Amino acid sequence: MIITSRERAYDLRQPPVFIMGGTGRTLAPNPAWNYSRPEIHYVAGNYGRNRLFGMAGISQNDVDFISCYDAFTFTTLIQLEAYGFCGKGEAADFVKGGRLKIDNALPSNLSGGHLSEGYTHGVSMVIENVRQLRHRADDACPGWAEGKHTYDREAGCRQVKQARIAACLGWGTETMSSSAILRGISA
Amino acid sequence: MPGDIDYTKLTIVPDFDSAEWWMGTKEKKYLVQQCNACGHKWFPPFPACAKCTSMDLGWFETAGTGVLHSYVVVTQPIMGAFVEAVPYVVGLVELDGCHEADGSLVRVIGVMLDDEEDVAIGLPVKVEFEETNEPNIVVPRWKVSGTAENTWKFSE
Repeated sequence: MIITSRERAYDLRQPPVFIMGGTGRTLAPNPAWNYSRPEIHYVAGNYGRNRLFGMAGISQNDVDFISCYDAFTFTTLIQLEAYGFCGKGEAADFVKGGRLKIDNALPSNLSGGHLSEGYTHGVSMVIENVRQLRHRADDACPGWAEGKHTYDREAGCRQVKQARIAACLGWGTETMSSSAILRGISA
Repeated sequence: MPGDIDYTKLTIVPDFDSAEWWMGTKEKKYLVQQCNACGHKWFPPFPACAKCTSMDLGWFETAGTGVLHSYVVVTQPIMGAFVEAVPYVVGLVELDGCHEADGSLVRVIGVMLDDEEDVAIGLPVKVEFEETNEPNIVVPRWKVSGTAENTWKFSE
């Protein structure tokens, strides 16, 4: 991943992707470890989400797809609540019916995530989101490098149709977690 | 009661921050770190007070009692030392006497001596100290010590 100025990014070979907002090393109101806070399930998103979405100037409803740190399956549910995609205790109902599937309302972890792609502490998810925003997911479509996709899921296309804004959700305690909202040039 | 933990398959090495804590468990004391400047208490130990940044630190001897705030049941032994111990309960214990005026509190994690059917969130617990094959390493375990009016337990 190369991060450079907007001006230089336009001159590079690949379509640019812009960082709308981000958090890193967020602070919580209490210095204790998360399990010594009143809410033991609070993670970085609970403390950083207003900064993240405020910086980006969008709401959760504007996000087309997400990546989230799925070290385990339940961490996805906690993050959906932490970053405000649904209310506290609502994540199970939120994902029921396949909301996170590729052609549904909020596709998640399109490259497979930690559980199915590789445990790289989130960075490969950011790379995947950048590829998706460029419309250049390196899938089975013959023309993926030119941004031409068939959207045939059975044949191995994993490009999201509406890939304008992506949220990269980070897991963990606030001092060691980060998040970002990215957009492609078409957004 | 869960089976024994095979401490011969664990290597516990106290480090700079935790050495005094391990000296405490050897004397059957459950210590938490305390800032000498502002009084803030926390666990596990680390080199500076996260509240006031002072590095003048000491230790607070707790009563070794608390309330079971939450727990999980481990059924799959990830390390060889726990092969005979599964299924065992890992408790999150909210320590008595560590609540501060600003709402700070100290919760610690430990392997329970009780089976799953005997634990519930909200029950009082107390520490027990378990000797290992290494004479300088004494490991705290937690045990339900009474009853409580408001307890909660997950059921399918």
